[in-house]
Amino acid sequence: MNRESFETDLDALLSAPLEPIADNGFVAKVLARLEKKKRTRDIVLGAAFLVASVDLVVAFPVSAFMVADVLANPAVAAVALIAVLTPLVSFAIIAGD
Amino acid sequence: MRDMAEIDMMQSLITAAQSGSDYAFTRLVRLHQSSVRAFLRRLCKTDVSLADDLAQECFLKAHGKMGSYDGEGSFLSWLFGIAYRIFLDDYRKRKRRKLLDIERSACAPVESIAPNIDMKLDLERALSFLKIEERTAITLCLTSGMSHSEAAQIMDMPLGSVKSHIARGRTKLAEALHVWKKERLQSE
Repeated sequence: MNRESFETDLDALLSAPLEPIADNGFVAKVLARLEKKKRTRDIVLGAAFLVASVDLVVAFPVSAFMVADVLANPAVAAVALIAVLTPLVSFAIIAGD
Repeated sequence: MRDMAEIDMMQSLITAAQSGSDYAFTRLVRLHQSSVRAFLRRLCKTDVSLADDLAQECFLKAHGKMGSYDGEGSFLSWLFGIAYRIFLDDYRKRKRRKLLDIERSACAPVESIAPNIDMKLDLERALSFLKIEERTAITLCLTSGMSHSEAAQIMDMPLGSVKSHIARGRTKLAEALHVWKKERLQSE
């Protein structure tokens, strides 16, 4: 046997396609992990939303006095509305992404 | 004609998966699981369960990055790129933790495997003694039929390096095969 035939054999061996692999539950495992990942993400987002809401309540304690004050001044009302909506809209965008 | 239909179907599945269709993504996983797992099994040598874990990771990452697939190159080569990066990350982590000493065996000179005839009989095992880059480049270009430029993109290295890895790996394998055949002829 000469060197050339070794090379030919090697080429034939190397160009043989990889053995096909049966599914055997692989796809189901991927989907289960995907589902779990989504659930975890939902829980984390829900918790973050809750924390943000609590923060807003702490930062902007709504009392009868404040409501009357805010409503009396349209500029202050607009700022308060933006302050409340910004984190909520941000979370909605992140959750929808 | 059939090829065109397959390409169209694949394109539709990719577009649907990019729009968030879980059904389309599942079909894509089903279509490509064998190739990705076989590719990773060769990279992970004989560790089938590690290869399958990494393949799962690959599809999870692909799901999160579907939007970044821009149709440049085949979908399979895009998946191979993700799989290769995941494999390298895992390999580096394992190497750091010294849980798995792949490097030592991967860098072993071909001569050191010469005395073991059984090992040389098995091309998969002979391949496992090549460096990771050589093994990957050979698997992508010679076995999976990808072009050198596709392999360069997957492995994130210059075209010339891919060609060098293939040439070096092939030479090592040829030497191993040559020694094995010579010994077999002598024993007959």
